[in-house]
Amino acid sequence: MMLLDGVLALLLLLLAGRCVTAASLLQAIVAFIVLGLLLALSWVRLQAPDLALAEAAIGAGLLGVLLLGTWRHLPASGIHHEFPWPWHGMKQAVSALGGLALAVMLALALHETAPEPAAAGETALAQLDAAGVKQPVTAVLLNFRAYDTLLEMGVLLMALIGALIVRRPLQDGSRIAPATLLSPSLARLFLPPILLIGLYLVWAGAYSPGGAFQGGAVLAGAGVMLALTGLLRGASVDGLWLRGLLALGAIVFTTAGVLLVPVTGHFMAYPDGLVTPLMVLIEFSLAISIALSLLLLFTGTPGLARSRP
Amino acid sequence: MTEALPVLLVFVPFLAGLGQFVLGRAVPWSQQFVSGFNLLLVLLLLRAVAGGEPVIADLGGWGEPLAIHLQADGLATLMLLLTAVLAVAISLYAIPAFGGHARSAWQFWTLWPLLLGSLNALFLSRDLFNIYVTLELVTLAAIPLVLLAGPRKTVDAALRYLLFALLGSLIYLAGVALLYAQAGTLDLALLPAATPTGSLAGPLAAALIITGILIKGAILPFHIWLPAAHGGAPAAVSAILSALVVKAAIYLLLRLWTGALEPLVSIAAGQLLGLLGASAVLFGSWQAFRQSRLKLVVAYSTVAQLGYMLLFFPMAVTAAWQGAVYHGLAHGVAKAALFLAAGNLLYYLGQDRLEALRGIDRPLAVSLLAFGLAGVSIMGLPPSGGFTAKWLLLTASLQTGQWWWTAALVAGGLLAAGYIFRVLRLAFLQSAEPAERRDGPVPGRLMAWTATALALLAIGLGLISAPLLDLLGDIPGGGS
Amino acid sequence: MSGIDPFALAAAGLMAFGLYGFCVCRHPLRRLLAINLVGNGVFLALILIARRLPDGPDPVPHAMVLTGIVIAVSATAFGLALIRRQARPEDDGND
Repeated sequence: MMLLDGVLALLLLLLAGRCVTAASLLQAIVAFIVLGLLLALSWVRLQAPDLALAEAAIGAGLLGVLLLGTWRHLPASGIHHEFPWPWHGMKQAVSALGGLALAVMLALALHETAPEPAAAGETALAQLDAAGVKQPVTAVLLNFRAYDTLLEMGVLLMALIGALIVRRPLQDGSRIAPATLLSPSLARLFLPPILLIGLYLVWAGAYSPGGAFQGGAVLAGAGVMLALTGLLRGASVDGLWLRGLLALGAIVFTTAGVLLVPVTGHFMAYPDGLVTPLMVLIEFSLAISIALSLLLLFTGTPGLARSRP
Repeated sequence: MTEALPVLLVFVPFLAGLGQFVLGRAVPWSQQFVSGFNLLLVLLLLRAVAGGEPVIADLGGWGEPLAIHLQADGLATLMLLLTAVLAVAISLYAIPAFGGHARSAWQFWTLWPLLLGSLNALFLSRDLFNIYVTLELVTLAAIPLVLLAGPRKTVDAALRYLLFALLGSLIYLAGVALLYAQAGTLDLALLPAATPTGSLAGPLAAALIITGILIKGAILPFHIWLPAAHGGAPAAVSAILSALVVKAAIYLLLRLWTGALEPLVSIAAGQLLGLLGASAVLFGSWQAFRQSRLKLVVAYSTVAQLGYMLLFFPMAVTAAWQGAVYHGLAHGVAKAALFLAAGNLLYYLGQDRLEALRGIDRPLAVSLLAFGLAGVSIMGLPPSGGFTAKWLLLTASLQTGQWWWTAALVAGGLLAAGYIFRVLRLAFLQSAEPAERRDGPVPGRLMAWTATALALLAIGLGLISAPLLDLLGDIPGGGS
Repeated sequence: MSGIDPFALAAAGLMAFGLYGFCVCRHPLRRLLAINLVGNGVFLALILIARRLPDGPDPVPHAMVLTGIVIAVSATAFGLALIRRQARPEDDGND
């Protein structure tokens, strides 16, 4: 198995180099997406299957679709030639030396990390029974360090607002990506199983690999598929319900955190009897907000509509 | 009861922003309540912290070393106070500046409370990873706000800002990862004791964390994203960015240097940071002097003024600590006043080329007064807050025998006088050929007087420094 | 040096390639890719760091990675929207 790890690591490095030095932008993007998938594979090897799921769905999948979509928008004349090899100039040579020095130091530093276990991680595992979920990562994200996750929902929302500020108005009814291998009927066929998988992942986050982020990403992927086949299109008007769903995760999270203070004495703490249902409620509302935000980041529109027949 | 204060400081603005988002149209007056309430919360916090004990909230109640804590000590409370005071003024200023009808108004009144909550969260955070999240929150609230000046004009600046900010925070995160690998906790209070020294990973982690923050704070070699972004944003947003957002990064540097990273930093690193700061002072001031557009003058002035705060690191005595932090406060208030005043001139002129300023002293007397008064503090003349801060830094450089920083202090002050007077001189010159320019509406009283009030406060800070410095106290951990 | 983990090398390499790419590339999309390489390197390092507890991996760095991925992707998506806008400045709406 060491051999497999070595090959994976080598491929990661080669793809990273390719991503930086590829002559064409498209090749760089493809190298980046393949790298994301191999990274996910490496994470399975490193006992992190839930992160592998997230990386494959969000980091390689959705981001890949976004990157390719952007590439299609760039005018061919605007892509100037790059000279990214170290022997192409002074700046390149200096950066290469700097990068090499940093890589050596980082590798040594990672190699010599202290042998004793991390106090925070041990505490998390020791208190898992009280967290309301069986999956340690979900417990950290939704309970032990839930505040980080809540703020992260703010990041997602503001990235969406920012993307909408710079959007160019689109002609309503135009499909987002007309050329695709998927036909609408095929997409209709795939939709129910994909939705089921997404919802299952959200639900399963409590016990096994999965969770709001992975499930949300798969749900967003279902939306992307509908948009690609033209069954769903971006609309330039948003509705109260849509904005409400986008903010739902953060609002449910905060409300639960504030309302229960009289019971628990701490902000964002959950009372023993209620903790499991609360976790599930929070997880589903987060997944809905995540899925919608990612989908709208893909369509680049404030709203969504079914396509007119 | 007091533990609720830090929590409310984050969540009241945050929920207000979310509510504004869901509502779908701008409600400028509700933000006035939010910023007023925010100031009230900070004042209550001020009273609680004045005793010397920090106010701590344990989020989730899981305790150390796992849970995230919010902590308000003297330093954090002063930054919260600066933020709260500026928030009140800028929220008022934005009523006429943004109005309430356009879609961009809704976007402003949504993003601004979210940014306010994010800044509060950053100042209150006691957790390395949570700081990463708050840094990203602040960045992703700030950049869309820049775009509100019109995407066509600002998209280049916004993109460059985003690229640098993202790189900075990932470098910071790399440092956090290495530090967690050794210490096993992210809690700032536990880190100094938990971090083993004598390894390679420790100093490398500290270097990565500091570099990441320097990029976010636009300190000299990394300043190139700042002028276009701060100069191109709407005036109210420029004020927020220059007075608060970049300063949040320097605040983190002060906090981590004297706390979590204390066992890992060296005297040489302190001297290096001081050198970067002094170069920023000289380079930024010189650039400000050379600009031909008013808002770029003010933006480059920010590059320079942030440099003064870095002079704490080589000297590391109480006077330097107080001087650096007080400089942060004084510059925050004065720079907000400068940007709001510059915004008023822009509002009237429809452009901000310095040449166009000739002879606008009559219609815009109040805004020019604000510009001049704030300039006094930027130059560091008595009795302003800027003077107090520079005096403290000067004292520190004499105390430590590091006289060379005095040269940067004096030269920076002279150059500042140069670029401020250059603007004022043009404004008071009688125009030879009257008005090719397109004179717009005279900015309303609210716009003129909020700028003036802040400028007066910048002067007044020189007179009320004693209680504020008392609140700040000495260097945490006693210093080195 | 015999026991060095190949993935530690890969993590360090990803960060270094990313920084190099950020320094030498001019096209914003390439710079955005380079930043994401740095991010992937950091995430891989965090996962390596998480492997030190006796009973299962340390969930704290894992949670940091999950949070980090979502933040990186949202910020990148925003960056891509900016790049699309920058590439086609001629038609101007929503100002």
